[in-house]
Amino acid sequence: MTSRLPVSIRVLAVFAVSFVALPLLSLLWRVPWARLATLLTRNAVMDALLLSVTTSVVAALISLALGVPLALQLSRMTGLAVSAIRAVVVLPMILPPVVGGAALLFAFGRNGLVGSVLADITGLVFPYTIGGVVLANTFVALPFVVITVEGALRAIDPRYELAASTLGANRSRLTFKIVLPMVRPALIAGGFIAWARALGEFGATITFAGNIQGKTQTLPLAVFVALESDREAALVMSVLLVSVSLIVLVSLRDRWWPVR
Amino acid sequence: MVTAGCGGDDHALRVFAASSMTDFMGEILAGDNEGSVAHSAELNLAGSGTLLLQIDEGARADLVVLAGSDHMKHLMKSGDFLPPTEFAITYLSVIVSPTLKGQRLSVHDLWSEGFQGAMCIVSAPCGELAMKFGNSLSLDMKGLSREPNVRAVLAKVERGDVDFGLVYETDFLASRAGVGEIPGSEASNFSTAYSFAISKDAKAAARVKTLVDSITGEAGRRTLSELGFKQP
Repeated sequence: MTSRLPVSIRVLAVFAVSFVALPLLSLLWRVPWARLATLLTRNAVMDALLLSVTTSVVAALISLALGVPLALQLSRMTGLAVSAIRAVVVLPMILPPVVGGAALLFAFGRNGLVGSVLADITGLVFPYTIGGVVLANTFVALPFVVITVEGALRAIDPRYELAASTLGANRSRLTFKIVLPMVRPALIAGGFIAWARALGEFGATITFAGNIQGKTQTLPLAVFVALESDREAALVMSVLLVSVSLIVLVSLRDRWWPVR
Repeated sequence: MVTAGCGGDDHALRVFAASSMTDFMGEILAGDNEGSVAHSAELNLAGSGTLLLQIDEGARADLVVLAGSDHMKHLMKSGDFLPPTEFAITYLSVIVSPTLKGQRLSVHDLWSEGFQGAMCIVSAPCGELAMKFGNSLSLDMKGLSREPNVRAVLAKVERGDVDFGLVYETDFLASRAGVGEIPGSEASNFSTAYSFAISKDAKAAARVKTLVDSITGEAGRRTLSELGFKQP
């Protein structure tokens, strides 16, 4: 049994919960529940919803495809190199998204470092296309996969791998049959957190991919536009986004943060 | 540093201004030689729609400078502001990126040859104006990216991230990045008027008056015409 905390600590804890919960409750309080269905089926809302779901799922899959190999690599490294690489990869998590969007423009924009070459060779242009949305989403989502999966990989007892290789398992068998199945919960958690992050992405998307209805206007962008022109629709979309994130977080529970 | 010199009105003067007024408000505040107003003024710059949203949700402003008469009417509904004064007019302009400058493109070329364009979101006066312009020429505006405010549109055209943009004439004139303007596009038939309104809350009235005088006075008019604004 755990001992009780001092009253002051408990008061502060209640305050912390209220601080986060109150704005969310105020959002619910303003929602025009009676008109929910009509508002949700508006063209702009449906367009945004469809685009958001597609791009965020693709971004989460790309994040897994790229993030897991990186996590595997990082989990085997030690020293300064791993800290440096990890810092760079994790940066988009805490970078102001609009800075991320500007950075993406300077890299993959039409006059960007990579973008100009890419456009010349392949004719592929990212800004103002659905590809740009996926790129911006992946940029912010990838770190979540890397961090989650690397943490789990480092916690594996190295003796399992040792035993498997003594028994003659080759490198790819070791990775796919032994190591990855052991971190399955982390793969799922990382994928879902990445997806939720991609779904909510705003700053990098509007800066890098623009804001075109049906093409690059995702749900958060539609909320931003509607906030000034159609506040009820904005509220309905906000609630949709909050519910999705909440469902993801609740269903992941201890996979994302360690709770005994 | 003395900030609370004149008794009770020690809160900073809060000025909310449409982002297309960025340069003008900057000049007005910088040109205030006494420094009394400029030093204690907080300038909140955003699209007019965003400013209205902030005020609707309880933000307090001593002076509000908005583009578009609809937005000003909306502000008046709150009952917290004195009747507005119109003080400047600007026109719509179709601008192209530095690479397309000098290619003698017409507005219809921009729409028919698959160029990427940008405009303001329609809740911003510049977006509303762009929409009216598009409708009058039966242009399909759906493919244009909707940026939060006119300065964001200008920045994207300047960098060449989009090929063309619909901005105010005054923003085109303010640009130093070599963007071009499509001449004779009839965009100049579409104009937006700027007006300001003073809060009824008279706490900072004396300082608001100083600022308003510099907007409507000789210096203000000169600055406006230097920036390309017309008088109403």
